[in-house]
Amino acid sequence: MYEFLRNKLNKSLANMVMIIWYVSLAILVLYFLSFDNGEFRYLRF
Amino acid sequence: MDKLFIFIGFALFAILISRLINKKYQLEFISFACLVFVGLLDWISLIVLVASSMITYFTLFRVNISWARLHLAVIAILVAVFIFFKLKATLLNGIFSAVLPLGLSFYYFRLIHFVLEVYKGNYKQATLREFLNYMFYFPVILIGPIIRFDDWKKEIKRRRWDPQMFSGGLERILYGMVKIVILGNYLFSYELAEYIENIKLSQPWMANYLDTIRYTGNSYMQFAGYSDIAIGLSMLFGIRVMENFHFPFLAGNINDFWKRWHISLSNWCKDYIFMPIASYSRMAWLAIISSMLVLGLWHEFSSRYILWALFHGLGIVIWHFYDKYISLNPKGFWGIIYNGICIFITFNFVVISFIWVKETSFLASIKAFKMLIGL
Repeated sequence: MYEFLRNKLNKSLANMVMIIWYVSLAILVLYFLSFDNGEFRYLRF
Repeated sequence: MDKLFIFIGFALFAILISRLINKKYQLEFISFACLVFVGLLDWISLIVLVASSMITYFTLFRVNISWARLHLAVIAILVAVFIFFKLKATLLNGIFSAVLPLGLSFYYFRLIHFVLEVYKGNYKQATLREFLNYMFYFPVILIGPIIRFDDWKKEIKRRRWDPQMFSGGLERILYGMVKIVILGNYLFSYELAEYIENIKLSQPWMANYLDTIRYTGNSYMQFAGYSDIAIGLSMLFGIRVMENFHFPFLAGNINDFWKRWHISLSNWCKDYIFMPIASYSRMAWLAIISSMLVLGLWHEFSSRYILWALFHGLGIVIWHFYDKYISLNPKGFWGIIYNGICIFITFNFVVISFIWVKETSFLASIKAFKMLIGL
Protein backbone atom coordinates (compact mmCIF):
# COMPACT_ATOMS: atom_id res chain seq x y z
CA MET A 1 0.00 0.00 0.00
CA TYR A 2 2.84 2.36 0.93
CA GLU A 3 4.67 1.68 -2.34
CA PHE A 4 1.49 2.38 -4.29
CA LEU A 5 0.93 5.69 -2.47
CA ARG A 6 4.55 6.70 -2.89
CA ASN A 7 4.31 6.18 -6.62
CA LYS A 8 1.00 8.03 -6.93
CA LEU A 9 1.71 10.86 -4.44
CA ASN A 10 5.00 12.20 -3.11
CA LYS A 11 6.92 10.57 -0.24
CA SER A 12 5.91 12.93 2.58
CA LEU A 13 2.23 12.81 1.61
CA ALA A 14 2.37 9.04 1.41
CA ASN A 15 3.96 8.95 4.88
CA MET A 16 1.21 11.14 6.27
CA VAL A 17 -1.57 9.03 4.71
CA MET A 18 0.01 5.88 6.16
CA ILE A 19 0.27 7.39 9.64
CA ILE A 20 -3.38 8.50 9.52
CA TRP A 21 -4.36 5.02 8.30
CA TYR A 22 -2.52 3.22 11.13
CA VAL A 23 -3.73 5.60 13.85
CA SER A 24 -7.35 5.30 12.66
CA LEU A 25 -7.12 1.53 12.63
CA ALA A 26 -5.64 1.51 16.14
CA ILE A 27 -8.44 3.80 17.40
CA LEU A 28 -11.07 1.59 15.76
CA VAL A 29 -9.56 -1.52 17.36
CA LEU A 30 -9.71 0.14 20.79
CA TYR A 31 -13.28 1.30 20.17
CA PHE A 32 -14.55 -2.14 19.10
CA LEU A 33 -12.76 -4.08 21.82
CA SER A 34 -15.90 -4.53 23.89
CA PHE A 35 -17.76 -6.36 21.08
CA ASP A 36 -16.57 -9.82 22.03
CA ASN A 37 -19.34 -12.40 22.38
CA GLY A 38 -16.93 -15.09 23.61
CA GLU A 39 -17.78 -17.53 20.80
CA PHE A 40 -14.11 -18.25 20.16
CA ARG A 41 -12.96 -17.86 23.73
CA TYR A 42 -11.38 -21.32 23.62
CA LEU A 43 -8.86 -19.89 21.18
CA ARG A 44 -7.86 -17.38 23.80
CA PHE A 45 -5.82 -19.87 25.74
CA MET B 1 -9.30 -10.51 25.12
CA ASP B 2 -7.27 -9.50 28.17
CA LYS B 3 -4.95 -12.48 27.78
CA LEU B 4 -4.36 -11.65 24.12
CA PHE B 5 -3.19 -8.19 25.12
CA ILE B 6 -1.03 -9.66 27.87
CA PHE B 7 0.52 -12.00 25.29
CA ILE B 8 1.17 -9.25 22.74
CA GLY B 9 2.44 -6.85 25.40
CA PHE B 10 4.72 -9.40 27.04
CA ALA B 11 6.07 -10.68 23.70
CA LEU B 12 6.64 -7.13 22.42
CA PHE B 13 8.46 -6.17 25.60
CA ALA B 14 10.62 -9.31 25.50
CA ILE B 15 11.46 -8.83 21.81
CA LEU B 16 12.40 -5.17 22.28
CA ILE B 17 14.55 -5.97 25.33
CA SER B 18 16.21 -8.83 23.43
CA ARG B 19 17.29 -6.33 20.76
CA LEU B 20 19.34 -4.51 23.40
CA ILE B 21 21.39 -7.50 24.53
CA ASN B 22 24.21 -9.36 22.81
CA LYS B 23 22.99 -11.06 19.59
CA LYS B 24 24.47 -14.36 20.76
CA TYR B 25 21.99 -14.58 23.64
CA GLN B 26 18.92 -12.97 22.07
CA LEU B 27 17.25 -16.26 21.16
CA GLU B 28 17.86 -17.68 24.65
CA PHE B 29 16.37 -14.54 26.13
CA ILE B 30 13.22 -14.96 24.00
CA SER B 31 12.91 -18.62 25.05
CA PHE B 32 13.40 -17.67 28.69
CA ALA B 33 10.74 -14.94 28.37
CA CYS B 34 8.43 -17.56 26.86
CA LEU B 35 8.98 -19.88 29.84
CA VAL B 36 8.30 -17.03 32.27
CA PHE B 37 5.13 -16.06 30.40
CA VAL B 38 3.74 -19.60 30.30
CA GLY B 39 4.73 -20.16 33.94
CA LEU B 40 3.03 -16.95 35.09
CA LEU B 41 -0.18 -17.77 33.22
CA ASP B 42 -0.34 -21.43 34.18
CA TRP B 43 2.50 -23.25 35.95
CA ILE B 44 1.03 -26.69 35.17
CA SER B 45 1.36 -25.92 31.44
CA LEU B 46 4.97 -24.97 31.98
CA ILE B 47 5.72 -28.29 33.70
CA VAL B 48 3.93 -30.32 30.99
CA LEU B 49 5.65 -28.53 28.10
CA VAL B 50 9.14 -28.51 29.62
CA ALA B 51 8.89 -32.14 30.78
CA SER B 52 7.65 -33.28 27.33
CA SER B 53 10.54 -31.53 25.57
CA MET B 54 13.25 -32.71 27.95
CA ILE B 55 12.05 -36.32 28.02
CA THR B 56 11.75 -36.34 24.20
CA TYR B 57 15.20 -34.88 23.63
CA PHE B 58 17.04 -37.07 26.13
CA THR B 59 15.22 -40.21 24.99
CA LEU B 60 16.06 -39.50 21.35
CA PHE B 61 19.69 -38.52 21.78
CA ARG B 62 20.86 -40.22 24.95
CA VAL B 63 19.10 -43.58 25.32
CA ASN B 64 20.86 -46.45 23.62
CA ILE B 65 18.19 -48.85 22.37
CA SER B 66 16.75 -49.90 18.99
CA TRP B 67 16.27 -46.79 16.82
CA ALA B 68 12.82 -47.59 15.35
CA ARG B 69 11.33 -48.89 18.61
CA LEU B 70 12.58 -45.87 20.48
CA HIS B 71 10.90 -43.44 18.09
CA LEU B 72 7.73 -45.44 18.11
CA ALA B 73 7.70 -45.38 21.92
CA VAL B 74 8.33 -41.61 22.07
CA ILE B 75 5.59 -40.88 19.54
CA ALA B 76 3.16 -43.24 21.33
CA ILE B 77 3.81 -41.44 24.63
CA LEU B 78 3.42 -37.98 23.05
CA VAL B 79 0.19 -38.97 21.31
CA ALA B 80 -1.14 -40.54 24.55
CA VAL B 81 -0.39 -37.36 26.55
CA PHE B 82 -1.95 -35.24 23.79
CA ILE B 83 -5.12 -37.38 23.71
CA PHE B 84 -5.29 -37.41 27.52
CA PHE B 85 -5.32 -33.61 27.77
CA LYS B 86 -7.63 -33.17 24.80
CA LEU B 87 -10.13 -35.67 26.23
CA LYS B 88 -9.84 -34.07 29.65
CA ALA B 89 -10.56 -30.67 28.11
CA THR B 90 -13.61 -32.03 26.25
CA LEU B 91 -15.02 -33.93 29.25
CA LEU B 92 -14.36 -31.21 31.81
CA ASN B 93 -15.16 -28.28 29.53
CA GLY B 94 -16.51 -25.42 31.62
CA ILE B 95 -15.68 -27.04 34.97
CA PHE B 96 -12.04 -26.04 35.20
CA SER B 97 -10.60 -23.01 33.50
CA ALA B 98 -7.19 -24.45 32.66
CA VAL B 99 -7.63 -28.11 31.73
CA LEU B 100 -5.57 -27.89 28.54
CA PRO B 101 -1.92 -26.84 28.80
CA LEU B 102 -1.31 -23.56 26.97
CA GLY B 103 -0.50 -24.00 23.29
CA LEU B 104 -0.55 -27.80 23.66
CA SER B 105 -1.94 -28.53 20.18
CA PHE B 106 0.66 -26.45 18.35
CA TYR B 107 3.46 -27.45 20.70
CA TYR B 108 2.86 -31.21 20.50
CA PHE B 109 2.56 -31.25 16.72
CA ARG B 110 5.92 -29.49 16.49
CA LEU B 111 7.35 -32.01 18.93
CA ILE B 112 6.01 -34.98 16.95
CA HIS B 113 7.37 -33.40 13.74
CA PHE B 114 10.81 -33.19 15.35
CA VAL B 115 10.76 -36.84 16.50
CA LEU B 116 9.64 -38.07 13.06
CA GLU B 117 12.31 -36.06 11.27
CA VAL B 118 15.01 -37.38 13.63
CA TYR B 119 13.72 -40.88 12.86
CA LYS B 120 14.07 -40.15 9.13
CA GLY B 121 17.70 -39.26 9.77
CA ASN B 122 17.36 -35.47 9.74
CA TYR B 123 18.27 -33.11 12.57
CA LYS B 124 20.68 -35.63 14.10
CA GLN B 125 23.04 -32.79 14.91
CA ALA B 126 20.42 -30.75 16.75
CA THR B 127 21.75 -29.56 20.09
CA LEU B 128 19.65 -29.25 23.24
CA ARG B 129 20.04 -25.48 23.05
CA GLU B 130 18.71 -25.35 19.47
CA PHE B 131 15.92 -27.76 20.29
CA LEU B 132 14.71 -25.81 23.33
CA ASN B 133 14.97 -22.50 21.48
CA TYR B 134 12.84 -24.00 18.71
CA MET B 135 10.27 -25.49 21.05
CA PHE B 136 9.96 -22.33 23.15
CA TYR B 137 10.08 -19.81 20.32
CA PHE B 138 7.83 -17.17 21.87
CA PRO B 139 5.86 -15.75 18.88
CA VAL B 140 4.42 -19.14 17.87
CA ILE B 141 4.11 -20.88 21.24
CA LEU B 142 0.40 -20.27 21.79
CA ILE B 143 -1.21 -19.68 18.41
CA GLY B 144 1.00 -21.30 15.79
CA PRO B 145 1.79 -21.61 12.93
CA ILE B 146 3.30 -25.10 13.31
CA ILE B 147 6.74 -24.11 12.06
CA ARG B 148 9.32 -26.71 10.97
CA PHE B 149 12.69 -27.05 12.66
CA ASP B 150 14.76 -26.77 9.45
CA ASP B 151 12.87 -23.68 8.21
CA TRP B 152 13.27 -22.06 11.61
CA LYS B 153 16.97 -22.87 11.73
CA LYS B 154 17.53 -21.39 8.27
CA GLU B 155 15.77 -18.19 9.34
CA ILE B 156 17.86 -18.00 12.52
CA LYS B 157 21.05 -18.11 10.44
CA ARG B 158 19.69 -15.45 8.08
CA ARG B 159 18.47 -13.20 10.89
CA ARG B 160 19.70 -9.61 10.99
CA TRP B 161 18.37 -6.17 11.88
CA ASP B 162 15.99 -5.12 9.12
CA PRO B 163 13.94 -1.95 9.80
CA GLN B 164 11.58 -2.79 6.93
CA MET B 165 10.82 -6.17 8.42
CA PHE B 166 10.37 -4.60 11.85
CA SER B 167 7.80 -2.07 10.57
CA GLY B 168 6.18 -4.84 8.53
CA GLY B 169 5.83 -6.81 11.77
CA LEU B 170 4.10 -3.94 13.55
CA GLU B 171 1.75 -3.52 10.59
CA ARG B 172 0.97 -7.23 10.61
CA ILE B 173 0.09 -7.17 14.32
CA LEU B 174 -2.25 -4.23 13.75
CA TYR B 175 -3.95 -5.99 10.82
CA GLY B 176 -4.30 -9.11 12.98
CA MET B 177 -6.05 -7.05 15.65
CA VAL B 178 -8.33 -5.50 13.01
CA LYS B 179 -9.32 -8.98 11.81
CA ILE B 180 -10.07 -10.24 15.33
CA VAL B 181 -11.70 -7.17 16.84
CA ILE B 182 -13.37 -5.25 14.01
CA LEU B 183 -14.13 -7.86 11.36
CA GLY B 184 -14.56 -10.93 13.60
CA ASN B 185 -16.00 -9.66 16.87
CA TYR B 186 -17.90 -6.66 15.56
CA LEU B 187 -18.91 -7.25 11.95
CA PHE B 188 -19.59 -11.00 12.05
CA SER B 189 -20.41 -11.61 15.71
CA TYR B 190 -22.36 -8.45 16.42
CA GLU B 191 -23.69 -6.68 13.32
CA LEU B 192 -24.48 -9.75 11.24
CA ALA B 193 -25.82 -11.60 14.31
CA GLU B 194 -28.22 -8.73 14.99
CA TYR B 195 -29.44 -8.77 11.38
CA ILE B 196 -29.94 -12.56 11.55
CA GLU B 197 -31.96 -12.16 14.75
CA ASN B 198 -34.26 -9.69 12.98
CA ILE B 199 -35.05 -11.97 10.02
CA LYS B 200 -35.16 -15.23 12.00
CA LEU B 201 -38.96 -15.46 12.06
CA SER B 202 -39.74 -14.05 8.62
CA GLN B 203 -36.96 -15.86 6.68
CA PRO B 204 -35.80 -18.91 8.67
CA TRP B 205 -33.78 -20.50 5.80
CA MET B 206 -31.88 -17.31 5.05
CA ALA B 207 -31.29 -16.75 8.78
CA ASN B 208 -29.85 -20.26 9.13
CA TYR B 209 -27.64 -19.82 6.04
CA LEU B 210 -26.38 -16.40 7.16
CA ASP B 211 -25.74 -17.69 10.66
CA THR B 212 -23.48 -20.40 9.21
CA ILE B 213 -21.68 -17.76 7.11
CA ARG B 214 -21.35 -15.64 10.25
CA TYR B 215 -19.74 -18.51 12.15
CA THR B 216 -17.43 -19.44 9.25
CA GLY B 217 -16.39 -15.84 8.66
CA ASN B 218 -15.76 -15.21 12.32
CA SER B 219 -13.70 -18.37 12.73
CA TYR B 220 -11.59 -17.34 9.73
CA MET B 221 -11.07 -13.81 11.09
CA GLN B 222 -10.11 -15.15 14.53
CA PHE B 223 -7.67 -17.80 13.25
CA ALA B 224 -6.16 -15.61 10.55
CA GLY B 225 -5.93 -12.67 12.98
CA TYR B 226 -4.06 -14.73 15.55
CA SER B 227 -1.73 -16.05 12.85
CA ASP B 228 -1.05 -12.47 11.69
CA ILE B 229 -0.14 -11.49 15.26
CA ALA B 230 2.23 -14.45 15.61
CA ILE B 231 3.84 -13.78 12.21
CA GLY B 232 4.12 -10.06 13.05
CA LEU B 233 5.76 -10.73 16.41
CA SER B 234 8.22 -13.06 14.74
CA MET B 235 9.03 -10.40 12.13
CA LEU B 236 9.82 -7.96 14.94
CA PHE B 237 12.40 -10.48 16.12
CA GLY B 238 13.76 -10.71 12.56
CA ILE B 239 12.42 -14.14 11.67
CA ARG B 240 9.90 -14.74 8.91
CA VAL B 241 7.69 -17.72 9.72
CA MET B 242 5.40 -19.46 7.25
CA GLU B 243 2.02 -18.04 6.27
CA ASN B 244 -0.97 -19.89 7.67
CA PHE B 245 -3.83 -18.56 5.52
CA HIS B 246 -3.92 -17.51 1.88
CA PHE B 247 -7.35 -16.27 0.74
CA PRO B 248 -9.05 -19.61 1.49
CA PHE B 249 -12.47 -18.47 0.27
CA LEU B 250 -11.09 -17.95 -3.24
CA ALA B 251 -10.29 -21.65 -3.52
CA GLY B 252 -11.69 -23.30 -6.64
CA ASN B 253 -12.07 -26.73 -5.03
CA ILE B 254 -11.92 -28.30 -1.60
CA ASN B 255 -8.41 -29.65 -2.17
CA ASP B 256 -7.24 -26.14 -3.00
CA PHE B 257 -9.07 -24.84 0.07
CA TRP B 258 -6.89 -27.00 2.34
CA LYS B 259 -3.79 -25.57 0.67
CA ARG B 260 -4.99 -22.12 1.72
CA TRP B 261 -6.59 -22.70 5.16
CA HIS B 262 -4.44 -23.40 8.22
CA ILE B 263 -1.58 -24.26 5.86
CA SER B 264 0.91 -25.31 8.55
CA LEU B 265 -1.52 -27.87 10.00
CA SER B 266 -2.66 -29.26 6.64
CA ASN B 267 0.99 -29.58 5.54
CA TRP B 268 1.75 -31.42 8.78
CA CYS B 269 -1.12 -33.84 8.16
CA LYS B 270 -0.05 -34.29 4.52
CA ASP B 271 3.55 -35.14 5.48
CA TYR B 272 2.98 -37.27 8.57
CA ILE B 273 -0.45 -38.85 8.04
CA PHE B 274 -1.38 -38.76 4.36
CA MET B 275 1.98 -39.71 2.80
CA PRO B 276 2.79 -42.70 5.06
CA ILE B 277 -0.75 -44.14 4.86
CA ALA B 278 -0.99 -43.57 1.09
CA SER B 279 2.39 -45.19 0.44
CA TYR B 280 1.76 -48.19 2.72
CA SER B 281 -1.87 -48.88 1.85
CA ARG B 282 -1.95 -47.58 -1.75
CA MET B 283 -5.45 -46.34 -0.92
CA ALA B 284 -5.59 -42.59 -1.37
CA TRP B 285 -9.14 -42.34 0.02
CA LEU B 286 -8.06 -43.97 3.29
CA ALA B 287 -5.11 -41.59 3.59
CA ILE B 288 -7.35 -38.59 2.94
CA ILE B 289 -10.00 -39.62 5.49
CA SER B 290 -7.31 -40.44 8.10
CA SER B 291 -5.57 -37.08 7.56
CA MET B 292 -8.82 -35.19 7.88
CA LEU B 293 -9.74 -37.10 11.05
CA VAL B 294 -6.41 -36.17 12.66
CA LEU B 295 -6.90 -32.60 11.49
CA GLY B 296 -10.39 -32.49 13.01
CA LEU B 297 -9.37 -34.10 16.30
CA TRP B 298 -6.45 -31.69 16.57
CA HIS B 299 -9.05 -28.95 17.07
CA GLU B 300 -11.13 -30.80 19.62
CA PHE B 301 -11.82 -34.39 20.68
CA SER B 302 -15.54 -34.44 20.00
CA SER B 303 -18.12 -36.05 17.73
CA ARG B 304 -18.84 -32.69 16.08
CA TYR B 305 -15.25 -32.31 14.90
CA ILE B 306 -15.21 -35.94 13.72
CA LEU B 307 -18.28 -35.21 11.58
CA TRP B 308 -16.72 -31.99 10.30
CA ALA B 309 -13.53 -33.85 9.38
CA LEU B 310 -15.42 -36.71 7.67
CA PHE B 311 -17.48 -34.20 5.71
CA HIS B 312 -14.32 -32.52 4.42
CA GLY B 313 -12.58 -35.86 3.85
CA LEU B 314 -15.50 -37.10 1.78
CA GLY B 315 -15.50 -33.84 -0.17
CA ILE B 316 -11.81 -34.23 -1.03
CA VAL B 317 -12.27 -37.89 -2.06
CA ILE B 318 -15.17 -36.91 -4.35
CA TRP B 319 -13.17 -34.03 -5.80
CA HIS B 320 -10.21 -36.36 -6.58
CA PHE B 321 -12.61 -38.73 -8.32
CA TYR B 322 -14.04 -35.84 -10.33
CA ASP B 323 -10.58 -34.50 -11.15
CA LYS B 324 -9.37 -37.90 -12.34
CA TYR B 325 -12.34 -39.06 -14.43
CA ILE B 326 -14.48 -36.06 -15.38
CA SER B 327 -12.59 -32.78 -14.91
CA LEU B 328 -13.96 -30.02 -17.15
CA ASN B 329 -11.45 -27.38 -18.08
CA PRO B 330 -13.09 -24.72 -20.26
CA LYS B 331 -11.02 -21.82 -21.56
CA GLY B 332 -11.74 -18.12 -22.20
CA PHE B 333 -15.10 -16.66 -21.18
CA TRP B 334 -16.56 -20.03 -20.15
CA GLY B 335 -13.42 -20.65 -18.16
CA ILE B 336 -14.09 -17.51 -16.08
CA ILE B 337 -17.72 -18.58 -15.54
CA TYR B 338 -16.59 -22.12 -14.64
CA ASN B 339 -14.01 -20.81 -12.11
CA GLY B 340 -16.64 -18.55 -10.56
CA ILE B 341 -19.03 -21.50 -10.16
CA CYS B 342 -16.21 -23.61 -8.66
CA ILE B 343 -15.40 -20.89 -6.09
CA PHE B 344 -19.11 -20.54 -5.25
CA ILE B 345 -19.55 -24.31 -4.76
CA THR B 346 -16.38 -24.59 -2.64
CA PHE B 347 -17.38 -21.63 -0.50
CA ASN B 348 -20.80 -23.13 0.18
CA PHE B 349 -19.36 -26.55 0.87
CA VAL B 350 -17.05 -25.04 3.50
CA VAL B 351 -19.85 -22.94 4.97
CA ILE B 352 -22.15 -25.98 5.24
CA SER B 353 -19.34 -28.02 6.84
CA PHE B 354 -19.18 -25.50 9.68
CA ILE B 355 -22.72 -26.45 10.71
CA TRP B 356 -21.23 -29.56 12.34
CA VAL B 357 -19.02 -27.50 14.63
CA LYS B 358 -21.26 -24.47 15.07
CA GLU B 359 -24.11 -26.22 16.84
CA THR B 360 -23.59 -27.47 20.39
CA SER B 361 -25.29 -30.86 19.91
CA PHE B 362 -25.40 -33.48 17.18
CA LEU B 363 -29.21 -33.25 16.91
CA ALA B 364 -29.08 -29.48 16.50
CA SER B 365 -26.47 -29.90 13.75
CA ILE B 366 -28.66 -32.42 11.91
CA LYS B 367 -31.66 -30.09 12.21
CA ALA B 368 -29.70 -27.10 10.88
CA PHE B 369 -28.17 -29.19 8.09
CA LYS B 370 -31.56 -30.56 6.98
CA MET B 371 -33.03 -27.08 7.01
CA LEU B 372 -30.17 -25.71 4.94
CA ILE B 373 -30.48 -28.36 2.20
CA GLY B 374 -34.25 -27.93 2.19
CA LEU B 375 -35.35 -31.18 3.87
